[in-house]
Amino acid sequence: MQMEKPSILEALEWTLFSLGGIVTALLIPIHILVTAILSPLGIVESFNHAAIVARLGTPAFKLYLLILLLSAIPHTLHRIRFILYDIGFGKNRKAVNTLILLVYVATMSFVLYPFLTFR
Amino acid sequence: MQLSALSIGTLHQNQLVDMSQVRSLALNSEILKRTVNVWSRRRGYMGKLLDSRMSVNWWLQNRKYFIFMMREFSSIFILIYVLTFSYQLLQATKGPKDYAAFLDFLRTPSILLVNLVVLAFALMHSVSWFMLTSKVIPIKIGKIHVPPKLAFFGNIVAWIAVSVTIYLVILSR
Repeated sequence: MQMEKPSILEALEWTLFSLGGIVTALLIPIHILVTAILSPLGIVESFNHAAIVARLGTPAFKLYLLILLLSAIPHTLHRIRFILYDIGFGKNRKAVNTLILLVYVATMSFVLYPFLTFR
Repeated sequence: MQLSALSIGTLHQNQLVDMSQVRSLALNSEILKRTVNVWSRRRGYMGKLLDSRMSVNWWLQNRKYFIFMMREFSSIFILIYVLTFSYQLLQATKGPKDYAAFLDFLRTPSILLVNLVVLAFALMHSVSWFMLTSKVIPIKIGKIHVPPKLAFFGNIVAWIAVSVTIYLVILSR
């Protein structure tokens, strides 16, 4: 059986998947713990409105959030695409790919929107 | 490399093998079809051939397949978290009232429970990712190959160090 020729697009997908995987694995758990559990419970005070608005004004915090949030999207959507292939949509790869591309654009815009509109 | 029905399931994802052998073996066994598909679709070898025969619930039939699928499912939870956090940022840019309303929503017990599940999946993703990278990226120091278990341990230590640093430098103030 002949090996399929790898395309540049495929290489890019896998690169973004791996980079996203590393960033997500390293940063997401502590981020969830602090923002979604400790701060709603009142244990950590650093995510109240005044604090978060003040920090959103600093380039370093913005950069951190953008790296965290934007790298997670290619990683997770890549896996979701393969889940869809695996649960019976492998016959409709083109439809799955189109759907994933649309979700890609939508989620990217949604994540970028607060950064673009902030002041 | 001569393949047998038994050795095929233990093949490494990136191992180079004669695909015609894999195909002839896989076509003779339902279980092997699934094993080979899970492992070879990522390389694009014969995913298309086998996808047409995959059932929707094949991953519920065996513990290993189930764990594999849970690892893949972790991505859905992480994406949901990324979107809710982005929404939180959006509310923060709108003003203190909108932001307070969102924090109240996060404080409800059911949402806290959901977020605990999200955290559990995120932890599962991290641990499985570090297992994976310690196996697929061989580390060599001088002439000594670092064993995957030691590399995995190193990854975990680095992960904890990064988490503590991120907390102290960025998240806690």
